[in-house]
Amino acid sequence: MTFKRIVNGIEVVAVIAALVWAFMLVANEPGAGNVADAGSPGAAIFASNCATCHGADGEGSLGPQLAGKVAAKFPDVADQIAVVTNGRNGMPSFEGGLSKEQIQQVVEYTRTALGS
Amino acid sequence: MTAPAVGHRDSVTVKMLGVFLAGAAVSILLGVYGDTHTPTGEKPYNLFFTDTIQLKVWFATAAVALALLQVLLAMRLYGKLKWPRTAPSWLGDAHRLCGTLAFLITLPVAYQCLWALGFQSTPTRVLVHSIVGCLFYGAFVAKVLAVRFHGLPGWSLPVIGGVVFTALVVIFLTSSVWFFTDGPAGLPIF
Repeated sequence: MTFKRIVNGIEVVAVIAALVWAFMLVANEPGAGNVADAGSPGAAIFASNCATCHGADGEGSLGPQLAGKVAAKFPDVADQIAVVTNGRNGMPSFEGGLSKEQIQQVVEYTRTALGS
Repeated sequence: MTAPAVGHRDSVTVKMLGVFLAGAAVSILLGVYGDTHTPTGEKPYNLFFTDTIQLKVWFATAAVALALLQVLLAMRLYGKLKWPRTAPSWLGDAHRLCGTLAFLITLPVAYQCLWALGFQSTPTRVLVHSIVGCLFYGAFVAKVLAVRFHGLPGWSLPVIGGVVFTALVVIFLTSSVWFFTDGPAGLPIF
């Protein structure tokens, strides 16, 4: 009986948590200053395609740090575009997922807005 | 066929339709939110893990472990497993507890997915993960409703529960397993 009550209590907690979860999703819309709100198309593309692995500000996570490093690593922008287009090591290919123009925009974003 | 029998069948049909529509609505709402919401790319929490991705990977793994235990308990409840020979009275509550805890554990994972990453369509692994992630919560809502509604066909709960479990496993395969095996970070770390 006690166990059943505990389980009932946890179920109530779960329902409340789910409601709070849904509320936070709607209420926590990104404010000013976020990468995704920076305004450029490259920023939005970066947030939805690259930030997962490279971090919201390109600081690196699963993937290597981009901020402040990527332009030095790829002096020729065409080399960086080729990596984004074709993928390399653990990084997926974005050919087909992003247009050439979008790849150009996000590459430009990583080389400028994230710090060169 | 008598009138009450027809009425009962209609009632069951309405309940099943309600369960399906509620689940579908939740899945679609999550998908629409993930697609229209501007992803922040941020990492809102990592608790004692080195990074949010580690938290997500291990929480998802724990959720699958609990779900697996829940399936085993369900199989004992339905008599598909014969061990233990005498089913303890608390088996049903333990089944509920496992499912509830598994669901709770998925919430911070899904929150970061939806809020920070949104619905993504590339590469294929991420597309499958996004779709099945939305399906999972819809199926979960359908299962909760199916448990509460009495008089549904006997096959409904196992089928809906199977969909919930399968969805969770696919989510796990396209995230945690990918992280453990093919992810750039390599070996599982905390």
